Amino acid sequence: MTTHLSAREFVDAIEGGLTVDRQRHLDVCAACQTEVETLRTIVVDLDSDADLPEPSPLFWEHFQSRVNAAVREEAMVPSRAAWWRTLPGAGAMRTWLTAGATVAALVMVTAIYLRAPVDAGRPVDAGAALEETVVPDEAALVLGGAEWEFVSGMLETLQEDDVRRVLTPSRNAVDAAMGNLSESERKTFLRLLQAEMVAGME
Amino acid sequence: MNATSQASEATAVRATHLDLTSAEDRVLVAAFLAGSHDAFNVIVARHQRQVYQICFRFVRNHEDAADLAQDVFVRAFKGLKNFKGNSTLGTWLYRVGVNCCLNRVATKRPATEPIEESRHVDQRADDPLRAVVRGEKAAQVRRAIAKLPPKQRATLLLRVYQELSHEEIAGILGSSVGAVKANFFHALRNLKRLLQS
Repeated sequence: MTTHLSAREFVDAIEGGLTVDRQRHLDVCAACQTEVETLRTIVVDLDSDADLPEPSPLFWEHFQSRVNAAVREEAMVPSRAAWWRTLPGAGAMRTWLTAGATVAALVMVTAIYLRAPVDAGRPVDAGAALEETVVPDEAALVLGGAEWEFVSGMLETLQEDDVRRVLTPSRNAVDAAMGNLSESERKTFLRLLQAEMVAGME
Repeated sequence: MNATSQASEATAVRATHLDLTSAEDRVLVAAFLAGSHDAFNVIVARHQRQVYQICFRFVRNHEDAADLAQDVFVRAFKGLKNFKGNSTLGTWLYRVGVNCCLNRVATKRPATEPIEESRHVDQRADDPLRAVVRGEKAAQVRRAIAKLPPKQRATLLLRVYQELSHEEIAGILGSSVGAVKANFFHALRNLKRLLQS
């Protein structure tokens, strides 16, 4: 006894492409015949939704302009973060750049914190307890325009899995990321990071 | 520039445009890659309906279908340099379109059928009652198709409504012909179960 039709053979059967050999089985197998008939009925039912509402002729007249406008818009939007995607090894560099952006942000926030002026109105008391702390000016903690632009530009490119990868402690993650870079890529990355940090501090 | 040379330049432009509109797809692609934006416009005009239709089949409303179709051509504009000519341009555009649609349906599922769809009555039937019944059936079919797994849905739409061959669908979905047929079979079986429930 031959085996019942397979999934692919059922499709061939409803489309009239079954081999002679398998057609012979179908001719004598009631179960397969029932299945073929059921599938054919479904295909007929699908025909009920064959027609689509046609958009107005105006839509087609304007569609091309719409596409062209979208293409122009794509070309005009500068991708602040895209420049480094074109670098060789950019895929591997992205993880390290992400880590670098986070570190850079922390460094800048710390630098701003440390730059906060001491309250000049209070006389310095040599005998004051060492645990007395100076409360920095709250406004000084807010990143300036250029600084924020640098950080937000780098952060814009972060994707959720990048953030998770960076912030989730994992053994040797940084070493692994660095290990993926070639020597020249590492040098390029460090040069770029330095340039961005300098630009961000100005 | 005198009138004669202006007229001959206009004639040359028209002739070039006519050449493009009658050119085969691979010629248009070559012209586009050589810098002809007109060639891209001809590609859009030639394939816009097919792209819009497959997008509409996925999202079932005009606004989203129009946005998706636009997105497909923007991606085509950027990606045509990677078109190797192993398939037809139409098949390649279907692939871009299906990928856009699959990404879209994965992130955004419409809660209900748009009103314009549910009121769409099949004009083919002479009998008004038959038209209403057919319209209801079509609505049931649409709801069932929307519940299919994405690849089964894509296979079914491309095979039944866009009438592509299994080989073309395999190229679009990155599958084998056997896998396409199996997907199609399971799509039909799932539809049977959904329509009966």
